[in-house]
Amino acid sequence: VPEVHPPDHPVLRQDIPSPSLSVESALSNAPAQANDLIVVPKIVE
Amino acid sequence: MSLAHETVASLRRRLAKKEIKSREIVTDLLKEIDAREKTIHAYTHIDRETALKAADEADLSRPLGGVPIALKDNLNANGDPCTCSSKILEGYKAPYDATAVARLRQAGAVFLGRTNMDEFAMGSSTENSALGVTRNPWDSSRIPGGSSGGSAAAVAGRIALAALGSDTGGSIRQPAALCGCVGLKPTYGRISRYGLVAFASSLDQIGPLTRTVEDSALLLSSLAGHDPRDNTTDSRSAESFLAKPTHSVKGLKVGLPKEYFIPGMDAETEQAVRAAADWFQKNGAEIKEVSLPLTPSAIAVYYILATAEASANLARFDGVRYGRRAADPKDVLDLYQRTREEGFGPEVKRRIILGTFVLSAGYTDAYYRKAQKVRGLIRQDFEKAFQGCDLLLTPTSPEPAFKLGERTQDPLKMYLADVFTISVNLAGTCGISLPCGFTKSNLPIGLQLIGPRFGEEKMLQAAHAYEQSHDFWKRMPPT
Repeated sequence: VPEVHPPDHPVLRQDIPSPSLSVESALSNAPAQANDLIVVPKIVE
Repeated sequence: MSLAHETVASLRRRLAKKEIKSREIVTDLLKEIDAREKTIHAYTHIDRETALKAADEADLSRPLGGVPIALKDNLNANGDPCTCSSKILEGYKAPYDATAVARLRQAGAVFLGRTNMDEFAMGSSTENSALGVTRNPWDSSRIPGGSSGGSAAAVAGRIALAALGSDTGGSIRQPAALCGCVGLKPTYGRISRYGLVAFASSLDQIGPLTRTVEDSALLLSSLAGHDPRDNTTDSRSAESFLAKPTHSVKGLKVGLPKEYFIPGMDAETEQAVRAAADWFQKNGAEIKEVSLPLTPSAIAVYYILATAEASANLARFDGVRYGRRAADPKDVLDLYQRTREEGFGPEVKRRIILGTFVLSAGYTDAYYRKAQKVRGLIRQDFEKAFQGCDLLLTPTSPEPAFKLGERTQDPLKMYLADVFTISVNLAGTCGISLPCGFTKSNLPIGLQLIGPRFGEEKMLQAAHAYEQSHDFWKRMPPT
């Protein structure tokens, strides 16, 4: 689409792994959890 | 005089000279909050003990050392609630800092509390909050604007010195205009959006609400700059804005877009904004009429693109990883449906449905892609206008604050509140609203200055020169 401009200054970061949220942090807001996992209703009958 | 009535810049000077302590500022603000928050209801959360502790520990050598700042409730601050004024995020606590929050923390700021907003920033009056309405400090029967209505009312009501907001279609500038404070929407890409709960990612931008333009520049200097976590941020290094303030607008070329002075707009608003244009002319600026011909299409384009993006961004609120979950779901589909039915308010649902429709098979070309093309043309309108002038001068809002409840049943009328601010987001440029007068009923009127992309410095200089030649910013609301 010629009328749509890309961002003026796209800057891509280096593709280097960096630390992410810990399991504890990621689960801290989960409504239900067990064994370091989020608990959801079963999806396979 | 209470320290809560001073500006960030003046308090910074006094803190640096060790005339006052940060704890005294926080204490004075908490006293003002105790006196007026029940009426205004600007905050969704205040953490007194943490704020006082942070004030005691603040590094006063930093640019914002010891300065208390309030945060709109859609910015993640580690350990604090972040509800977006929605029931769906009830109980959620942020596990990390947004980059804007981290930068303020690094600059020595102290966080006072979280401010109310329209749910997920969708609204122009803060009446869409699931946590109660915020009232305008100038007239408590009226709205403060939105969606950053809590931030604007807190700053105007002297219960915050400064606050962060977010602006997707005018959500910083419109409430700033209606509450009589300064609201800055920086250029898209100026401030990292990492950690801002996304509404419409190609339009969202974080910015400060303050009492003066100088305070706005101070905050922007700490917030701006590239962030590897948001690759739309600009690669140029952060600047120190308004480091050498001028009181002159001589030689400035200021454009008045003819489409922004429309029939039916409030007469006192038009008079005040035209008087501001006269001031610029009398002080050596060149005023010229310009045209932004696609302005009438901006609201339609915005409500296609913003809702399309919102429908995708809000898909994450499904009751699985965080926030509210419907009780005893029978299967996973029931979990999604009931969680979203119970958690989202009517305006959020309306926009998700509209956004899903414009992205659905058979309608994408007719609506979404067409709107993208018109957005490109709106951007070209601005580029053309800025070839002949340095800034554009417009009203921020077509009218002053309206009564609570007046428009809640008429979404289309509510959407018109942002008619003068939306195009700036679509074009990705910067804009600032500052007080330029009061109505006979003592309601603030906002003047909008619009700059080209990354033209904040010149825009802030002009806004500062105008502000310091008038005393509108010194007036205190009765509430």
